[in-house]
Amino acid sequence: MANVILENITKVYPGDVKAVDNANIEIKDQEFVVLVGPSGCGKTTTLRMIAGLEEITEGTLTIDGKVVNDVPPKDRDIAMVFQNYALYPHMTVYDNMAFGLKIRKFPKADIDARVKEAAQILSIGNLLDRKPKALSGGQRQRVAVGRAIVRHPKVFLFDEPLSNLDAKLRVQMRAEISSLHHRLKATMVYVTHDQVEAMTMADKIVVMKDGLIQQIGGPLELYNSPNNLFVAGFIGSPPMNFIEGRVADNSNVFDAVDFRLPLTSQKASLVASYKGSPVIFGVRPEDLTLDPKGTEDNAVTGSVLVVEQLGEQLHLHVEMKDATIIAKVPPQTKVAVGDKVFLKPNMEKAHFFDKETEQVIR
Amino acid sequence: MRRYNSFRSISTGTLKWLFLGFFFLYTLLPFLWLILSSFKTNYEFTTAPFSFPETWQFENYVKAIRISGLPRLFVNSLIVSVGSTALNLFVSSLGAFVFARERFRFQNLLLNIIIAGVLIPIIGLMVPYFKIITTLRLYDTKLGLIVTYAAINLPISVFLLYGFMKRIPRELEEAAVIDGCSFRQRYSRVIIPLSRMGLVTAGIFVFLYSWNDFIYALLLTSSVKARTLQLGIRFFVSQFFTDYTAMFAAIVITILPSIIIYIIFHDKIIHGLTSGSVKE
Repeated sequence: MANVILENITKVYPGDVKAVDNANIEIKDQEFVVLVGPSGCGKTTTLRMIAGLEEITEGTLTIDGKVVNDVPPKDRDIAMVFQNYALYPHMTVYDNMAFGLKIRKFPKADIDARVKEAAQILSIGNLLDRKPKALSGGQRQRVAVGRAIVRHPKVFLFDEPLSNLDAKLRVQMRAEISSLHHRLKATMVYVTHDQVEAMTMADKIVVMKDGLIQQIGGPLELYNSPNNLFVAGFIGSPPMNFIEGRVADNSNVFDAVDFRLPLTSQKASLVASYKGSPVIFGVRPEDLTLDPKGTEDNAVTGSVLVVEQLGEQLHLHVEMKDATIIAKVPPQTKVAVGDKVFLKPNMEKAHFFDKETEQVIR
Repeated sequence: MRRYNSFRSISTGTLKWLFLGFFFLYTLLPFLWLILSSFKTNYEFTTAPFSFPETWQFENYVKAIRISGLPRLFVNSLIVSVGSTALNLFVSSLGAFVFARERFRFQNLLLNIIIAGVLIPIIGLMVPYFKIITTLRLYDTKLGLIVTYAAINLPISVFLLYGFMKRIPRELEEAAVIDGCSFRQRYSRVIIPLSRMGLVTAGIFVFLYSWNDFIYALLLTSSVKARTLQLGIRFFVSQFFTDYTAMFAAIVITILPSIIIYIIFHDKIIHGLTSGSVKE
């Protein structure tokens, strides 16, 4: 296993399209790193540069202490699992898994042992004689993972491996890949657009947007201390609520159009330099609680637009003049569409963002 | 309204059969006439060309085989057709692979030039081919015909194989690259096996062309050692007498392999020609 270091990596496509802009990522040995972001953010391009399937325009890529910018994919000692599995349709499961080893001229007995070991780990021992077309989506994904395992590579690369699976299977495979990571103690780089996958699987998450890295950190770090509006809105489901307003002249109150919120002394000092200036208030749905005694002067105020009963919690969509927010409240809460509600935010966990730069105010 | 519907269905049904009837009359009649004539005597053939045979003359087939030395010509045709098909598929698959899976300068221009070769009438190439083949000392050899037929059919084969290879998902080749495949191994271990359907389609085209060709066989051979089946038929016609019915029997024999090949592979030919035209 090995560490992977990306230093000032940039990828420019013909036509001056910058897909990745000056990316710096350090992936430690045995770490599970997830690159996450919306479509076109550069996450897959970054992964493909690590794999050697895309040329690096600028910067240095190091795997296990060796600069590999000009090393062909086959000599980088990496294995990759593709979004659409990329199994060879003309080969059996066994041959698919053994192919890389055969090409590298491994002894037959060694190939057989490795394929059978991987098949046992992935519970696909009974499928070895089948062709890919006779497999379900989940089974194909297991074979694709098996093809990577048999090689015992330094680094595993996953390119949105679960996005073709149905929701239930995705949850199951998520857990299986995580458990595989612990079992193999391998360095893994995983690309997804699904923040739930990122949160549940990663040791470290790299959030990307428009080719730029927005923030790198552990799941909780990103969740609790987002760097900017994008990360705050991308991580978490339902996403963080944002309400525009301004810091009152005495800096003790956040003044939105529909309501005012008194600030704690800690928050007041944080936004002291924004007196009279517009800011964005961010609060997660679970940090809002219904307050029957609330008023427009101390709680987020609006009328209920939609009530979603999820069993373990209730999602209230609350409409205000300029925004609609979501609050997670206990499932037995009695509330109806059209009710006027007052929601008290947990100010300790609330965030303020600069309206212009969209960076968090710290 | 009801009367209108029944009138409409009758006229549609009648027209449908009229269309089909005319089509089959036009396409199958000469073929049926050929088969029937191949079982007649020469006297019957000249006096009542459109009647059924009074007695079925199976000996016409025996004569056709014995007189014209058809077995030898059959073997020649087989060697030439199989050889040209193999050579054509090998060369065209190399080109199609590079055009479909690699990127290089003037790629589209070069591809279009090659595929435009489909439009060149083969008659127009007769003189250049004759010159090249004689210069290479391949005149009156099976190898001469093999090389010629393989070359003539390159545009259509490249066109068909390019279409098939282009549709192979990029990830499969990338997986092969990561698995350690070299350029040659990507061609031989991944792309060629996945283009099997395209190879079969292109192969059938080349085989049938090589089997049925008369013009180039006439142009490039002069003796029985390289003469093909189609050319053999010409030898039933002589200055003083033409054995029509034996010649027809010989024609039926030469057509049979084409029909058998089509029956075996017809689904692949149709699939090969229409693949990509509709969403699968």
